[in-house]
Amino acid sequence: MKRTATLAGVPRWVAVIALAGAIFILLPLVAVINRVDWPQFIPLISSESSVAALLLSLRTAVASTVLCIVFGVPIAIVLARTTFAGQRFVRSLVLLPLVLPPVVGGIALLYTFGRRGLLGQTFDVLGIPIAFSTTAVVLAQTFVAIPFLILSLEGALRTAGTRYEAVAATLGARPTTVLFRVTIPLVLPALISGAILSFARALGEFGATLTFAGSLQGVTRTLPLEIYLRLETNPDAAVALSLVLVAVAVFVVGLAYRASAVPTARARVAS
Amino acid sequence: MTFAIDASLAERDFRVSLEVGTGETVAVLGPNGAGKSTLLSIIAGLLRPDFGRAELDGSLLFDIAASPRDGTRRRYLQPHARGVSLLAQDPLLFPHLTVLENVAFGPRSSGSPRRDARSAADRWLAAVDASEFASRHPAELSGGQAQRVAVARALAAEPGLLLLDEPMAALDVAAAPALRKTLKRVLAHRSALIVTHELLDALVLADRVIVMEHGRIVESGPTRQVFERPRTRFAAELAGLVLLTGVKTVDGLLTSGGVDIRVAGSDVPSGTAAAVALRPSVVMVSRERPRHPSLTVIEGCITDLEPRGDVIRVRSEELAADISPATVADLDLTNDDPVWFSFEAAETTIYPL
Amino acid sequence: MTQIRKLALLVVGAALVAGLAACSSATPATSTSPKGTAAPKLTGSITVYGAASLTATFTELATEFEAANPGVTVQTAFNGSSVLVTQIQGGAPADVFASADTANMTKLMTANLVTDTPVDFATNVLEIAVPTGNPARITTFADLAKPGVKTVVCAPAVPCGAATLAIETATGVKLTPVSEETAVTGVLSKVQTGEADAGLVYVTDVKGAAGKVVGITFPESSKAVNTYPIAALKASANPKTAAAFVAFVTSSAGQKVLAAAGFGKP
Repeated sequence: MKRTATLAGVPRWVAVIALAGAIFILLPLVAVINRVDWPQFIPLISSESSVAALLLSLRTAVASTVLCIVFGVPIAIVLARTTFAGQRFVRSLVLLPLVLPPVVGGIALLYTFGRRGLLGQTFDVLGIPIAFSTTAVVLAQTFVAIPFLILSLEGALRTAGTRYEAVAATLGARPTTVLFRVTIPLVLPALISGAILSFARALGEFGATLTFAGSLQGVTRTLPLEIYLRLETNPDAAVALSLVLVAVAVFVVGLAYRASAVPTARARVAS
Repeated sequence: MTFAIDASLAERDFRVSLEVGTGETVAVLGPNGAGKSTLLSIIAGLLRPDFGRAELDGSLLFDIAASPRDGTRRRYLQPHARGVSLLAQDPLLFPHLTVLENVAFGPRSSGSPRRDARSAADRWLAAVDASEFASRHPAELSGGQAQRVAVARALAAEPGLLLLDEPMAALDVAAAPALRKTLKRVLAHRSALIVTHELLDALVLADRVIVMEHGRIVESGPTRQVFERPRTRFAAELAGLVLLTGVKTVDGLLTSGGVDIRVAGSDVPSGTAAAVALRPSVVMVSRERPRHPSLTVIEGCITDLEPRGDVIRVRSEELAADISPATVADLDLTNDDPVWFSFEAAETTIYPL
Repeated sequence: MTQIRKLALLVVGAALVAGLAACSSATPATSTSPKGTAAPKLTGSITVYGAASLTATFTELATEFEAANPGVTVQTAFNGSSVLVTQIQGGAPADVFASADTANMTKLMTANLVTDTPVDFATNVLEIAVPTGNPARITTFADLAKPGVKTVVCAPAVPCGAATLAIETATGVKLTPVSEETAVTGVLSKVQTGEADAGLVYVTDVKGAAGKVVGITFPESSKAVNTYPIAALKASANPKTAAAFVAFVTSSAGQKVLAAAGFGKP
């Protein structure tokens, strides 16, 4: 009953195509689940290298999400709230990692932070070796994930407009106070969903990490790298770990929806 | 004098010089696009003038030299440092804060401890009769309630000057009177500028009125005087009057359109610029030229027939008359019809411009 | 397993004998031998799946084979041997498979997907690759274990990593790599860009990198010799051409191309 009510107005063929598309997305997941060697599932995913890879993935993805927020929020604010010459150009550059093949991103990072890269020696002098370190993994993940946060937040900032900020300023709030007490709370749902998208992208990062950071258990071998390696010798383990990655991703995306749904519901009442 | 501004912004063809006395509320009137919001934005610091100077309670809001060579005169205070609160048409309560937190926002921003800010917020909520909403979120308020809270929030910031930009425009007819009453109470003895389109708002709330047109102030004076003896068509229209301007003659007024208007006795000296105001309800409309000697008669073409309650306002280029629908039907009036407008000299008021 | 090994050895022997026989005959005859034996009947298209390390040589071999057999087209696809095996098991349309190790070929034999007994056609050994200039001054295998030297190797799960592990075991030198790459190309690129001080790659990889890395041979490399087997596949729609291509690879003409790339004789 409810379904027919909500489908009203949508042409039937649109719904049919939507269904086909959804199946296209979901079927590979079903296939993975179908291939899992269930009796061996727990031993397969609890091997030392698997656990190390999962923990490393979670750790680095959290760290790179933090970096995405620290650098992405100011970038989004500058892009959304200021005008300067070449702004469009800067925006397209900032979003470049989104369309760049991750391997290319890895190469670019290598020539930036690598030992013989633009900044590599600077970091070496500072005593922060980046090559083959977990730092490199975090950098690679941040590089590919930050556009998600910027895109999500910039759009929300533009939609929210500057009227609340203007009011806050006339009430005596300094720009920094306005930022933390008005701007960010207003776009919090977008910030959260952007951060979670970034986290998810960081979690799935493969190409840039492999190119830039290398692959060593517990240091740079994240879950996707472990899965790829296992595919060589133990496809069953690879399938099992893939499912773990899918589960973590689904959990995180679900979390994102819940986090952003609450304030949205409130805003709906307001409108 | 509390507040003085003299500012120019070429981009919007804006040039205004204005003073607001201590405790004085000034209504800003004018057609759309006259520069009223520009004025408020420049005062609040949301829009930067090309040059000019503004001062509030002895502190300089901005001082920008007209020519870049006078580079030394250059000071521009950011909005938050001005002590000017802006209340807009929309309440714009922060949706993520409760009503109390919204009102406490100003005191908190100026560095008051949490507890002091809270008690100030309580006080101001009480002042606008909104204490009961303290713990609600803005989404749970009606438009009128939200605007009352917005008033409390603006006042809680203790502004030296309060700016109100059509605060009642977005409210439904039922909610406006309550807010008008609240504003009357809180604006007493407070320096404020209120942009409005309503005669009633200006009459109830303002000590003085300025009328803006094309980015300039074209009329200014005590509220009653402006509406009884308007000098601009806009003010006259708002006051519901017909305005005829010209030169005083011995027994009347010669309008710029060349019409001679007979006026009852007046002390306006002959040969000076003067205006005649009269209410449309005293103007008559006829197809034939009226012959009665005491009547002033002006010929005109109908430009508009506008229903107004139980009368129809018949307009020509310079005049307007309120007549009954039955008369309109009897005379079979339509646009572009040539008709005669007439009125008694006794019904007019003449005053110098 | 041992049976297959024996069989493989036999075939290698046979191939060697065949190769010797071919060599002993006049050179012109050898170069025309594929054409001479099969030219009139060979037609159609075949797809050759080759281990990643064979990319350059097999691309060249395919071109030569096409030149020698007008009307035949050879498609090539290169990837990690295990990935290719997975794809072939999944029904990929391959006619010939050339593996970088016997283990992966054995998988296909066990699955009964190979026509004849695979033929070993090349060997490969590891070599130390260092960036130009050799900043860490590496000269021996033992140098790789020195503290402060950033060494990159293949993960033990992939063939080049297994070979590395075998040498470590044989020599007693324990490496502490900064990265265990999933493919030999990963090792090569880390060395090439100067990120790593040294890496263990195949002799052929150093040759293929053409001057961008410097190779340092070490005697211990003989402890782990990788053997490359090739076989035609049962699923082939063009078994004659497939068989002819296998024969061509093992022919002296084919061997010349492989030797030029640094591969050893089987």
